[in-house]
Amino acid sequence: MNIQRKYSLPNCTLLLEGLSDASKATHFQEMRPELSILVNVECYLSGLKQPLVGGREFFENLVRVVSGYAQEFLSNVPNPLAENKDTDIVQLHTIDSNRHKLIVSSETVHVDSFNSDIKMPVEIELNTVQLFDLVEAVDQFFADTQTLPELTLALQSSRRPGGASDSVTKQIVPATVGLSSLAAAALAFSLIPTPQPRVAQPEAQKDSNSLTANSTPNVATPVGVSPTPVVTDAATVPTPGITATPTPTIETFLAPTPGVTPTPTSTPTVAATPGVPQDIEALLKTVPEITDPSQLRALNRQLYNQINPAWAGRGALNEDVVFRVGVGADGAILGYKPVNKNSNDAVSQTPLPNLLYNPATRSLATNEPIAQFRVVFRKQGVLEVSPWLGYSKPPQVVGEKIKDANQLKELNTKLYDTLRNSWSGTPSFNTDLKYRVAVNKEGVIADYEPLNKGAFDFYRETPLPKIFNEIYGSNVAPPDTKQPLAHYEVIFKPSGTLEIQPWEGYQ
Amino acid sequence: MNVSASLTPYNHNSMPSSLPMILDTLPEPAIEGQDCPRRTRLQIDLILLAIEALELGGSEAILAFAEELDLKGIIKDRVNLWRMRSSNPMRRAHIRRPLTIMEAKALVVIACYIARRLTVTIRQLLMIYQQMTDKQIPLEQNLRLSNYLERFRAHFKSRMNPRRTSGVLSVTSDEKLDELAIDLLGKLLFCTGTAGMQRFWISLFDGEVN
Repeated sequence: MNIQRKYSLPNCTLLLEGLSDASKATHFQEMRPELSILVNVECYLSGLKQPLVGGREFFENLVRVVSGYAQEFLSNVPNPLAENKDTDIVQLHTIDSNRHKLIVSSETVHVDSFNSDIKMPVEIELNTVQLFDLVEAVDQFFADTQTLPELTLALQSSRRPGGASDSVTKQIVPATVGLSSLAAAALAFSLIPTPQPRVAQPEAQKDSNSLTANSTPNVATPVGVSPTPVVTDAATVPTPGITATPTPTIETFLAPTPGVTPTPTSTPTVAATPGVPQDIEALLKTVPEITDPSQLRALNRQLYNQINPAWAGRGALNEDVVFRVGVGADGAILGYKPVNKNSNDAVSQTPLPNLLYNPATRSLATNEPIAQFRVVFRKQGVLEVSPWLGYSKPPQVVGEKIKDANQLKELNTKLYDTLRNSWSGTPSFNTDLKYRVAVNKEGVIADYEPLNKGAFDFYRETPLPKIFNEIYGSNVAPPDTKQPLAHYEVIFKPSGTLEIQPWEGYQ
Repeated sequence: MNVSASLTPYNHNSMPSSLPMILDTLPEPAIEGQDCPRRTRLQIDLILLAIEALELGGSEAILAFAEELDLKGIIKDRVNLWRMRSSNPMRRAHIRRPLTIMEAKALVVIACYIARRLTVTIRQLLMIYQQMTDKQIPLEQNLRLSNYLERFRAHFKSRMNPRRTSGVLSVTSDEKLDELAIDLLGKLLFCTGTAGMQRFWISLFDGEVN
């Protein structure tokens, strides 16, 4: 269902268009369904003839920067969320106390293509009232729980100058290109730390800093940060995975800054991480663990789909590096921990820091269960993901299934035709590519999953991503699990033949 | 808005039980102890000063809102309010008294409620300021704006210690004072927003948390 949301202020109107997630909508036949998939955003500003138009990336960038800048405006203290980076689509600069410059650049943001006379980047000067209207439109969006509820406003005071790192600046989980996973995106705004976790939290920050330094506890204590009692979980929680490692400093990875070696003197402001347990063991002490094999299997896949496309610079590793990774029920990476010192040292060569879900309020507040995985970055450039403790029994495909034999046969034929018609050319692979493919009762592909290495490596040669993209507008659309599905094992052979048979479970 | 959601359990440990719910919408800052840093005390006093410059009887309004919002337990009377505000280190009558987080919250809640009521005025004054500066017309030529600026200057001069303010706020001239007044007007506008109260509150501790 197509949904529009409009947040209208005198100088700014924010128009969001998107879809509701049908699986949720059935539970609540409410008058105002949830807009859960953002398709298009238009931001109308007084003084700008045409709206700024963009997608989710633009929008996330916009709300983050606007929110951070609003805080900066109020306190005159630079805010890490609004720190303008070259990679940002949206930037806000102060001209003077009443004038602010909004810059929007990137090809993904385009003005209406039919009568476009605006050149990129768009630069517009806002006075304080106009800025406020933009902030207010964003805040009204945040307050609207029926529109992208995963994006929430969680404000946080910036840290004392000379703090550890600008960890919060880039915590938006990219909606990663996965085969068919939906990486729930989160905004980086975090709650003000509550007194209790606060004690441990500066240590978390420092620890993540000290990764690049030689790891002696507390060496990285930044100038200007008043010493706080050290209550790292490393000291209290037995950590079987790293018993051989003498330093507790590799414990925490809940908000490190990706790819940046923070120098305390050059990063004056820092927003603190909210109260989040420091490592996976600590996390597991407070929340239930997901052990259901079928759910693990699904999460395993989501995790793979998050990490794999984000892993750049493969082959730079001198040896395999291994992490223990904690994942929420929605697939968000909530924490990770290297299993040894070498892995610890190589963390910046992996995409994990970038993929870490912003530990906003949810991780603690909701007491959500987590699943643990072993993630191996092979030095040959191959990624391996498996449940930390394995599967207790063979996993099943989750969701309701179509069982009627005739219908299964019919859908089988239909799927064959669909795939056959769109698969041509000479295969460059020389092994079978095996997939699980699920279709709904109309024969529309609802989900697919690679089953062997070839299937991962050569999926672009199959028509699957293209078909999926045509139907759902994205490769990252969530698997449709609401309706009953028929599952098949599909094999693309190097000879060009296509084989489809009813699904018989994971091998 | 989930700002307040998970915070209440912590609040209740250290506070009397009968505190108004409204304060729970403001999270506990991650600072040492229960007392506000200097900058927080200064900023709260200044925003209240701007409110007083905006409407006559501003200080009565503060007390009236304390009553209305059930915050009388914290802001008891005029003297009590004056003592809280005198914790601003810039004050001539600065007293070495801490401003507790609780008191700060109450003052912020009230300031934001008053600001919300004055939204139209605040917006208009800011738009006027914008137009006047764009056209390079002296600000005194607009009656409403100059009233606000004059009152703010008067309040500021009568209450603040010039030796202290010139350093920290670098307020050394009437022009600088006008800039400060306009700056505070902008902040008041932000206080009127949907998340304005939380935004203003959080910003008071920027650069202060550990």
